Amino acid sequence: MTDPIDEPVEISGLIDEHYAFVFGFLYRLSGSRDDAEDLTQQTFMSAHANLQQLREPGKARGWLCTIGRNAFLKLVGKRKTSSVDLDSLPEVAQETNSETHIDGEQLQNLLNQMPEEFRTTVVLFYYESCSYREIADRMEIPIGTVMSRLARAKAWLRRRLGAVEGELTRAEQN
Amino acid sequence: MNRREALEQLEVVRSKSDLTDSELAGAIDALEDDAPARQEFDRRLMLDQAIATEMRQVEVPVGLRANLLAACDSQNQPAAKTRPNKSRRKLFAVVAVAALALLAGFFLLPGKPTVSFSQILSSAPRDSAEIEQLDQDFRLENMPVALERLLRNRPSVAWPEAQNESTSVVVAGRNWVLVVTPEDQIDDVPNLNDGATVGGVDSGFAYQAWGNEGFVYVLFVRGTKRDLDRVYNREFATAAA
Repeated sequence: MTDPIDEPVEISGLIDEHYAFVFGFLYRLSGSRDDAEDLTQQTFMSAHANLQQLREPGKARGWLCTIGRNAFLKLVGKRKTSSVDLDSLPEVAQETNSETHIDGEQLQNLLNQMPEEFRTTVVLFYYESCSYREIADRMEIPIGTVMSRLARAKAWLRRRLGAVEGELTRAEQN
Repeated sequence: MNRREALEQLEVVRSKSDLTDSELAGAIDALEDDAPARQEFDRRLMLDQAIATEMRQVEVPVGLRANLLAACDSQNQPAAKTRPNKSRRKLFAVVAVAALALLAGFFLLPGKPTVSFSQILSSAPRDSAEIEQLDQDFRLENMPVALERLLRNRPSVAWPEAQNESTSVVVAGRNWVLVVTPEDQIDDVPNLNDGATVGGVDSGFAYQAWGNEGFVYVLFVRGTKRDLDRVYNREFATAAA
C-alpha cells in the first residue's frame, strides 16, 4: 500500500479542496470580485506549474494563499496605488452598536481603506485564523511588527465599526 | 505588564506557541483582578468572532471551479504557451493563405484592404464567447511587443473573416474583446493622438478606442461604461498610455 505522504498531489485535488477558500482570501485582499477571480486563476496556474515545490501537502492552503498574495502584490504594484498610514485616514463618526453584528459591505469597505500591509495582516488573522507567528512567517516580518499592526488595525476597525468601547478603552484613548 | 499590554497580548494570541508560558501567565495575571479589563477582553473577543465570521462569508462565482480546471488542463497541453497543435495547424494554413494572397496581391490587387472606423464599431465581433469557440490564433504583421504579449494564451481571430481582406485581429479576454487595426488600414481614422479616446455604449456593449504605435485599439465590454472602465484599467491602462 502506498504511503499517502508519497502520493503525488494533483492540481485538480487542490482546486477541489481550496478554490473557494483561495477566492475568498483574494477577494478580501483585493476588494474586487473580478480581480479575485483573475488572481485565483493565476494562483492555481502558478501552483500547477510549480507543484514540485509543495513539499508538505498538509500546508497546501497556506502555500496557495502565499502564491495568491504575491500575485496580488504584483497587481497592486502595477497600479501604483500609494500606501497611507492608518492614522492618516479620516475618522468617520459611527453610531455605537451594542450588538456584535457586522455589515459585510462596510467591513470590506474598511479593509479596502487599509494600507496593504495592514489589510493582509488582518485578513490572515481573521479569514485564515493564522497565529501571529504564522503571519510573521508568511509575510516575512518580525513578530513584533505583526503584533503592532494587528493591535492598531483591530483598534481602528473597532472604532470604525462603531462597536461599544468599554470604559477602559475610552479612558486609554483620552 | 500593564492592562493595555496584557489585553493586546491576549487579544492576538491564537495558540500557545504565540506566547511563552511566562508571557501568557503575566498577561492572565494582569487581568485576573481587573474586572473592567476582563470585560473589555470578552467584548473584543466577541467582536473578533463576529468579524471573522463575516469575513468568511464570500460568495464564490458560479463556474469558477470549472474555469480553473480548464485553465490548468490547458497548461498540460504540449506547446500550450503558443496554443494547441490544432491552432498551430490553423496558423500554418493562415500563413499559407496569407502568403498566397500576398503573392496574388502583388500582381492583381491594388493595395492593402481597408475598413472604416464605423464598420469596426458596428460589425466587428464583440462577444468573447464567440471568439473563444473559434479557438484560433491570428497575428497581424509588425505587431507591437505589448500586443504580442496580450495575445499570448488568448484566442484571436482575423476580421473581416476572409483572410485576404482581413484588416484587424480580434482578441478575446475573459469578459472583453479587443479589435486591433493598423491605422493605415482605416479609411477614417479618428483623432486618437496624445492619449485621446473615443467611446460610448451600443447594443448592450460599452466600447472605448485609443491609438498606440500606429495601431487603433477598440475595446468592447458587455455592460456599462463602468464595467468597461474596470476592464480598461485592469488590462490596458498602462499599455495605452
